[in-house]
Amino acid sequence: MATSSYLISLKSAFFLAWKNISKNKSKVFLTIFIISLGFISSIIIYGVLIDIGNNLEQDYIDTSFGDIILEPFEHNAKIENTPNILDKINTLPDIEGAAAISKVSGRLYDKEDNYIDTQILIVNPADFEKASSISSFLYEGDYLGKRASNDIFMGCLNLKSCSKFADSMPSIDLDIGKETEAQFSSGERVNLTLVGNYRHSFALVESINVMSEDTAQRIFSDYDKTKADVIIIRVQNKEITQQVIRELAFLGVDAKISDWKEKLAFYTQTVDSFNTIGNLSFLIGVIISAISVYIIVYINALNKKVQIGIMRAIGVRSKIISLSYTLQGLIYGILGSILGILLTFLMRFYFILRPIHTSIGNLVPQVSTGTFVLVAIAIIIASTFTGYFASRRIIKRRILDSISND
Amino acid sequence: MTKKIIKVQGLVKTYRKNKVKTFAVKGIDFEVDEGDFVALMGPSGSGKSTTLHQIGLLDRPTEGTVTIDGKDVSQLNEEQRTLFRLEKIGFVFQQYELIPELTALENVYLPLMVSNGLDKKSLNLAKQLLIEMDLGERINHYPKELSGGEQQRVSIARALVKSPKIILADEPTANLDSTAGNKIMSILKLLNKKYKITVIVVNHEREFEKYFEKIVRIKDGKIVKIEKKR
Repeated sequence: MATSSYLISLKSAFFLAWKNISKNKSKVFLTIFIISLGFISSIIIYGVLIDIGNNLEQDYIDTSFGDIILEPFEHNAKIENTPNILDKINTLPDIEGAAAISKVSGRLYDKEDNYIDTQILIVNPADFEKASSISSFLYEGDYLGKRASNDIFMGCLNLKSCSKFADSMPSIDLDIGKETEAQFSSGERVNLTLVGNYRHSFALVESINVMSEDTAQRIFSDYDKTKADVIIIRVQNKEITQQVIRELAFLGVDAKISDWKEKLAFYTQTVDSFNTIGNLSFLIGVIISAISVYIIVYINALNKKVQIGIMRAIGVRSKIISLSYTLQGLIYGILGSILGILLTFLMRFYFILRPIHTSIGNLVPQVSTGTFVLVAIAIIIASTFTGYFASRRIIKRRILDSISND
Repeated sequence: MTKKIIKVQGLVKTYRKNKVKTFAVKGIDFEVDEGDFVALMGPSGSGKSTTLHQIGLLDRPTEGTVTIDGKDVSQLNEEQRTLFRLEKIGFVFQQYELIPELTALENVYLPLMVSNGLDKKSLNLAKQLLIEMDLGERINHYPKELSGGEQQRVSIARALVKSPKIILADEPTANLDSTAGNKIMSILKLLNKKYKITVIVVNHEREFEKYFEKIVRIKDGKIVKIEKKR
């Protein structure tokens, strides 16, 4: 009996909700559209901020630091026996590449005696190509090859001809194939030929300069290619970083093993800051959306005050009326969220075609399925509860006050 | 012996606005027999609509009791009052008060739907009533597509659909011309005779006095005269 009464109420409420929606299409569309805008506003800024974080993270991993970094246990010491360690690393199945790196500091001059004080990485070009994506950002010339000459491969930030900050940051005037005089902190002086340069959308990773182990051996009498300052490792999938670290420890690699987050706390903090701001903007967006939904649905219900009064007068039970408005709120929430998802995809598609160009790369709002689900749930809950509360508030009024439209 | 279907005893209704107490009804007593066709007449602001609202359970009296069909309705809670209205009372309003999103048929069908669910028998009954109201061709029209007289007839069909014991009509002819007004009054009279439904009409037009068997004249919140034509 109770079930039957409940079913009658549900069917009646659905009927009334459906009639209300189908007879007020333009108002309903406007409501849904506004809800969808709330949906988008919750997501887009969050998506952009998350992408800033992701870009920062990925740019540094890809070009400079790798996913995993091996360092000597002691300060100013070197990792010993690097060929053996690289061999061990390369036995693991999920490694994209690994490279041993020695670092030297020096001053590079151009013909006009302009100079930059910079760091040069000494690498095996083939290994470094796999462990870092710098070579894939080749702008002019070539990557380091097997030529017997003293070559250098430089980042555009150091070169006047292609630096985006030539006016504000020191750089030298050096074309491809031309020589720069290098003066190293260890005292050696040598001419190096610029074999190529690379350019990246994130200017800060353009500061790296690279020379080969063979070149280093010709320049530095004490250079030992079996020793390195760091070994960087790039894994095929970021998710397995910790697993690879455990495997390296198991293999007895004689070095301090860190993932890039531990090593580069400054950047991690920056990324985390962007994520925190993103989460905060997401939360505020969701709250604003929920409040907007409340206002819209409440105004809609308020406009139906007279009808609610009439229905009560002719004997329609309060629970049927409030259920009908709850269902309307639910339908608004669902349709608003669906439209919001569609519009977000459209906007994302637009940004893929026309990304936001920034100094840290091209930004495209990143939105995960989880984010969509979270915003949709928040909006659906807000609109459903609003439908219920708004109708309850009107139902609590005197019938005559509702009907008289005062 | 005729059954007293409505008893109004010591009815007082006051309103408070800005701490000022206003008496809308100042102590009204009267009875209505089952099957009566009664008019509550009086000048504007005399308290006739307020009295009707108390009888129709649309409002609660400040003092006094209203007994309908042997039940003191003053004691009912909101849910019981709603059910009581649904089962025992049909309303006809001055502004017709149809639900704009529903067709004529759906408006009439609504009280049946909320108590019986969606069923064909109820739908046929609603259709039949509209045909009786000479609206057979207009059943699928929305209120805004109907004339005032047609809307009022839909409103009467809606009031009638649950076979109520009482129909309360609050100035049902106020927004209609004389022809349409007379048609509405004739229908109400016919329903009163045909189905023995007790009908109480708030009216202030002398033109329609001829339809009533009993006239309760109200002035300044009090009954000044009760006229019986039988």
